[in-house]
Amino acid sequence: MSTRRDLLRILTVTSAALPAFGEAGQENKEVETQPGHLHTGPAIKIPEPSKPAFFQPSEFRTMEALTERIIPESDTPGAKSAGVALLIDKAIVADPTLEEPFRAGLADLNAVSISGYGKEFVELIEHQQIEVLTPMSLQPDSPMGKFFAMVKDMTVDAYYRTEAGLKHELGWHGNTYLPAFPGCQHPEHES
Amino acid sequence: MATPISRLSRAVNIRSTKADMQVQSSPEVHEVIVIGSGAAGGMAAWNLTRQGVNVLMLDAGRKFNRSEFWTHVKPWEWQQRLDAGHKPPQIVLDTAEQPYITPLGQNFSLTRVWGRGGKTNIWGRVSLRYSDIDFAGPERDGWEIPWPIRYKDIAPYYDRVDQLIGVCGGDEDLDVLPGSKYFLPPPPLRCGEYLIKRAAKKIGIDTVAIRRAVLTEEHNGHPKCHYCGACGSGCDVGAFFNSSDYLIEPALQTGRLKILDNAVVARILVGEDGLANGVQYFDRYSKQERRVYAKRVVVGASCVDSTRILLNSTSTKYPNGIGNSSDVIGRYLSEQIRFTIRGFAPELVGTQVYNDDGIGGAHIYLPRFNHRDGRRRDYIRGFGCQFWYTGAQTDLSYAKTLPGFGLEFKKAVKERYPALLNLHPFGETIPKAENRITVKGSPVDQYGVPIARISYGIGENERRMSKDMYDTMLEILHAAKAEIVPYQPGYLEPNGSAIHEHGTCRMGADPKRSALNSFNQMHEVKNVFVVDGSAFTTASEKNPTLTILALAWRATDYMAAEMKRGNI
Repeated sequence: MSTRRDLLRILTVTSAALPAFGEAGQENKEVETQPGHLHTGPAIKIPEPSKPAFFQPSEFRTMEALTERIIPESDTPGAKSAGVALLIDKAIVADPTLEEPFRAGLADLNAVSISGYGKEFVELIEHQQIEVLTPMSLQPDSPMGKFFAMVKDMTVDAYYRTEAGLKHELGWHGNTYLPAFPGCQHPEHES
Repeated sequence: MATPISRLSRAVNIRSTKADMQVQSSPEVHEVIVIGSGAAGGMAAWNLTRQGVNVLMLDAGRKFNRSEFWTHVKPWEWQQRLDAGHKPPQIVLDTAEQPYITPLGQNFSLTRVWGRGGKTNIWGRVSLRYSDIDFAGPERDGWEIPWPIRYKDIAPYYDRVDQLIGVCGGDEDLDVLPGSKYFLPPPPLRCGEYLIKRAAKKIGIDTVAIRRAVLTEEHNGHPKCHYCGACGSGCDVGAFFNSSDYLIEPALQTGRLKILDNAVVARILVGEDGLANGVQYFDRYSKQERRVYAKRVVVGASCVDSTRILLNSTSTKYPNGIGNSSDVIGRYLSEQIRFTIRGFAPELVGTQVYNDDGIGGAHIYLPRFNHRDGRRRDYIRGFGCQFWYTGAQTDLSYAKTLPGFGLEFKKAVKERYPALLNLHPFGETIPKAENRITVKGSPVDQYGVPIARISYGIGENERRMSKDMYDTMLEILHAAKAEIVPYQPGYLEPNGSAIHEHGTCRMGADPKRSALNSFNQMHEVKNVFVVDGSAFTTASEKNPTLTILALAWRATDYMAAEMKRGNI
């Protein structure tokens, strides 16, 4: 719908609770001009972030570290504080064919870390983690490369749908009420 | 998207419990029954009731409540709401509820909406007039039968539809895309759209302002767009045309429209005189079989479901389905070929991010040009291009194609974010007899009625056209000096996913090769009119809804006049 992505808005993973961050980008002010219409979804009580349902506690810590290396904290949140590992946990619960690749992939990641540095992935310091992941990133067709690519894709899907990723990192400020649409604000492009 | 067998067998089991139920029928004979409530059925009901005709509409669902749409639920709020036990309204019909089947390896991605307004609740809203380039296409290249109408026949109805529903657009008036005196102001362009326009111009292709049924001004009592861009979740204020608010509500106000909700039509009933005399339907939830009677029937249940109803309407007189002695009904299914190719405009990389939602979808359109530039081509018909999701959007799938990870990766994603150019061409598929919907031998649904079997594929003409589409899109991106997002050459979106099904009950002058005359009236059964996309003789590269509305208006004008003359 393609159209049609518009028509068939696919639900992918999105974020749970997030730390408060400052506004980024240029905010268009929301204006209420239609009485009785708030242009927000119906109010809900936001549930507490759930516990991972698939990952074991040690696996979950590894996933937090791994996703944080893919999208680290900078002047905006990284994947860990955006709750990406928990969102991937939900995606795995929704698609059990992912269970085995994740269980095996995380075990292999630790095996590689131990053989290189004598420690599991989460215990490595940042530059060691990067050294472990770099060959996987460069060889996407190797078994570990495939696992890394899968985690990277799911991290992208999850992170850039969170408030941290989409709004605070990228500066998206859409899906809001605007009294007018101004169009391009770069005069040099309007010819 | 073929249906799992387990679901089919469950549907078969339900059938056996139904034999005990008694068929309920109302003795009243209605003036007109309209099947379906989308663009086609809604227009038929609106136009007939305002001319004094009493109409009974059968809708397979019920009215959607706009205040329940998740229009203003931001991407990260979706999961929160699902976690809290909320669900977005079910607008698109679940295939598990009403399956269809496809031959192995020939998937067809069918989207249906059962409920008041049908797909117009969530449609793409692109509103392009067909021209004589479209209507006379078959004469020009000799492929399949000609349309029985020309632009002059439908032009007054396009004018009326534009005025009724509100379509924004520019002042361009082209051989391939006739203009309108009645457009609402077009929305200003996004930065990326200026750059696409400039790049296309550089290689000799003109783009025009988009024509979209979105209200850029208040219109006929409907509020103007508030630029939230979430049209695909349904508009919470009705600022784009939907059949429920724009056609059916006014029709109800005449007092001449009655609607049966959750009425899933199975068959059109035929009297001894060979004319239609009513409709058999099932209550969507109780599964009770019911019958209603009428002097005339208008079919507008959308291409595939209308075709299924017609083919299932077998009788001694019409063993091949009502009005189908020609054996054309179900055949010539035509959709469109599409793909997306993307690039980043160098001028926009690393620039300020704006709210690019606009009216939801592109603000420019690239009309068909391949008949005009003097180049010889090895295929017939043509393609146009839309530019959905250009600029800052919520789809970040391009990030998966960028190499590496870490801070550099995060920066690469961010700086490209405002610079995305999204090219999305649509090409015509030509009608072929073997691309068809059948019901004979199909499994039955939960009401015991055979489901649609859709056998559809594209051929050499489409493959050649898609090569030209790719070449043209790449030429535009190169002219824009864009960094091209890695893509799979030759890839086409799944068949059916344009959600533009046409041709399975086509209009034509020759009753041996078409099912309907030039007024959407069955050649063989004069009191049946088929007014949705199934009536189209060819598909064109354009979005069909505006033309469905215009044809349904024209057909029901003729129908009302024939009723007055006592002919039907």
